[in-house]
Amino acid sequence: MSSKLLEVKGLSKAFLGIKANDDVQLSIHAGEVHGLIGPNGAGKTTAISLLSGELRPDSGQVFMDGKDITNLSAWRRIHMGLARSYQISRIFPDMTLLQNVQVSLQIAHGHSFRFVAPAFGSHGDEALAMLAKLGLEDRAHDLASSLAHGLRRELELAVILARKPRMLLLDEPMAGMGKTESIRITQLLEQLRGQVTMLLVEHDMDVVFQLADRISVLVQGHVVATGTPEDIAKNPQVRAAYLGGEDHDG
Amino acid sequence: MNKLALASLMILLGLAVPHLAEAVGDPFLTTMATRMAIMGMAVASLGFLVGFAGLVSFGHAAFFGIGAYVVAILFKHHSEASPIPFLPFAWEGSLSGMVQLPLAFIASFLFALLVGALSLRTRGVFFIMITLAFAQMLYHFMISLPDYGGEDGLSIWERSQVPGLDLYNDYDFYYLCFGLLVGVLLLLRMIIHSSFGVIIRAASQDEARLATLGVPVFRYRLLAFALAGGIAGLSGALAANLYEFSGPGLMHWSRSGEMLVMLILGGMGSLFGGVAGAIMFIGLEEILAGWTEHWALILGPILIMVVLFAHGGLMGFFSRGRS
Amino acid sequence: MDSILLIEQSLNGLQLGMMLFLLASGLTLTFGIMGIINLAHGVTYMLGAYIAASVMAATSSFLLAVLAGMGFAGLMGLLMEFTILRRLYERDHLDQVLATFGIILVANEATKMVFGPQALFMAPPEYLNKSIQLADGLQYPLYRLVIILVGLLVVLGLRHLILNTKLGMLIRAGATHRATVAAMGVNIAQVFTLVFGLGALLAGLAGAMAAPLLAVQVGMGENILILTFVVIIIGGLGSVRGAFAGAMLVGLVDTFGRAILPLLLAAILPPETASGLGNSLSDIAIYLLMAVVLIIRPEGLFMIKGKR
Repeated sequence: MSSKLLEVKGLSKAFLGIKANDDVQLSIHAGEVHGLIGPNGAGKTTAISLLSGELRPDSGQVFMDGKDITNLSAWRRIHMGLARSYQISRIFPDMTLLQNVQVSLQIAHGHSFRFVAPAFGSHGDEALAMLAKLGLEDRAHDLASSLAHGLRRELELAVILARKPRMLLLDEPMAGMGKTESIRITQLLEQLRGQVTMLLVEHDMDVVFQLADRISVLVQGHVVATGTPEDIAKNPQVRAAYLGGEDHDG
Repeated sequence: MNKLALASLMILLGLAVPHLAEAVGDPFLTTMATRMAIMGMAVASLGFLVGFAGLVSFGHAAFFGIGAYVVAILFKHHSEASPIPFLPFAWEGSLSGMVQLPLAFIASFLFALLVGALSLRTRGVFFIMITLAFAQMLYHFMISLPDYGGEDGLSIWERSQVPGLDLYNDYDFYYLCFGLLVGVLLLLRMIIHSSFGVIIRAASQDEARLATLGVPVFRYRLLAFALAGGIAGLSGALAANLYEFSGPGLMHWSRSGEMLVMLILGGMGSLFGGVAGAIMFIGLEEILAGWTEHWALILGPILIMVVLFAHGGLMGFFSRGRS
Repeated sequence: MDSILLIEQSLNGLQLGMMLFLLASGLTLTFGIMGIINLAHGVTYMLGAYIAASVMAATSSFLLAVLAGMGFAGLMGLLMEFTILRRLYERDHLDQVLATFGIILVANEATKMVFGPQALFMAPPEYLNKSIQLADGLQYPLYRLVIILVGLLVVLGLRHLILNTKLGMLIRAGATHRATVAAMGVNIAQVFTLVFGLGALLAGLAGAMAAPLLAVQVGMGENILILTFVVIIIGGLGSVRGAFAGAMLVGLVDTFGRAILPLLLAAILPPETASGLGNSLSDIAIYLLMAVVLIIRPEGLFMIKGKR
């Protein structure tokens, strides 16, 4: 198989004594779409934040390209190509769509410690092209705060993709989306397949089973199974976790 | 009216102030305008922090006070021909504005760097309170130094010597302050629109997003905080010259509160809001004080009314009126 | 330091702590529940002191003086809430700072006009104005002991109120789940007004009790207000238990700082420098305490979970 881009070994994190992630093992291959599913409260968002560097694990390690990045702060991880989206899209609300992408490009080009030249004079065309990719170019000069929920998510993706990440951590990209919006995002992610490795946390099982090459199942902070969508669909442990755990002695 | 025209008009008006004062036969107005320019500079730097970087500092008067003390201490040692004790090298101070004013900026900048480094890990109301705490510490520290006047502060017998200007001439002094104010506003404007400024503004809108886009937010905020502190120090150095005095009272928390009040009064959406607030506050104080000794009874309700009914301060009021 | 001095200073610290708690409990509740920064909280303290001093001068009844100070402060608190502050709950902290600063200006000036610019002095009542012997060689003013006692009664009373009454349940719930409380059909505005009035009442009590210990003058409210903010920040906003811990901590640190620092400095510096420096440094001590607490725990010691 292909090489491991991201590897997680024994990652644990507790809040006030409650284990959100307990000895999580994951390995994500370069180029794949890796689904991460699990019932509510299984610790999926915690896992994403541990990988993005916004939370520090109590124990365990995270490797990217074989390098230990466990103690690397969030802002350094993206310089290695690791980007994330949030369940509630995070953008810069008081800037226009174009400016949102321009900020991201400015950071990508690494020249934010400059004090003289007006910032929004540069990267305009590149930013517009990025917005066009997501069909947002008509609204380039609107304030981001004026966007409806679904379009915010698309803008967030545009902002992230401007950073040209190698690996995307997607925290429920379909949450709160309508049917058509959901299809658009699915298509977009489908287009990115192969160019960007993805860890996809998602509640919409249809989407996960359609997009993912492999799926891991997180139950009570623990990865109980990893495999192809077919394997996962047949796995009795997974079925037990989702259909209620009475008949399961885990 | 577009912004450029408005700015030009304000600058012309500012330049004309001493002549207008003379025309109406009240030269005291020039001194009042000098006070407005000095406070305007300090409040504009606070506005840069609060309005653009989203950092509400309740200790800005500390930096203002440091600037004032730099002038007073350099003067004191110069006049006594005594070396400054806390320096590693022997230096007997200076009267030159070209030394005093830059040093005031640098000293406040460095102190703000220290305060910021310790404070910027807190957020919101905790940031408000920790900046207040550091300012109060400095206030009490200055009181504890009898060599520098303790509670009574230091008087300054000689104003700074600036080449080509005589600071004992009200016009010269005013034009120095006004010129520096315009320079500071242009500098802050340039920074706000620069790459650095965009990062600062983005950080106030969504810090987590900025961090996961790859920005070490803390460093940018720290520099912005120190820069605002430095500017407040410069304005404090001018104030020390105007009052011919520096004392711990300049750093008291109520002075920091007053600066915030001026800022909110003027509005935070634009850099000029801080200046407008300073002009209004000082103007109101002067007018009301000339009218009744109980001016606070009138100023208080005005502040409350501004909050309740003119949301966004004076500048917000006008920009709403226009749109 | 010998044990007599140690006990004496501990009692002094306790007394200051109780005073601060009376102020901090109201401030932390109004901040924790309504999210409001009320700079004018010190105003009710000042009014309590002025009214108490005046009533004492007129009637010579200490009990009446304290009740009048409390009552008036409570009423002024209700008035402030009703006319101005309730319009600011949803507003930015900065707006609250500006409006309550305006209230301070008005209240201080009005007080100066009514009572004159000179400070008022209030003698403690005859029956409390003596020292009692606590131990061999330890005389302690009875009045200060009474303050500690009153503070303890308020602590117990608040504890009962918060743990065992419907209002207390709403206060606890209001601090963390405001929307839930509103959804239960409770008139949250009424709860707010009540809590605000209670906070002002306690501040007034603190002012009235403090009046015999210090000069009653304009500006006294702002001085103690900053200390009170230090207390609730250290304790964690919205937590009455935190306010109590913070108040005790600040009271003791401040008192011991004042007692010990000059002694320590005297060992290394000439005496007059040492006492001056010692006094200022002990002023610094509590701010240092707050800064250290915030640097280690950026949200205070007893932060209520899930609250900004």
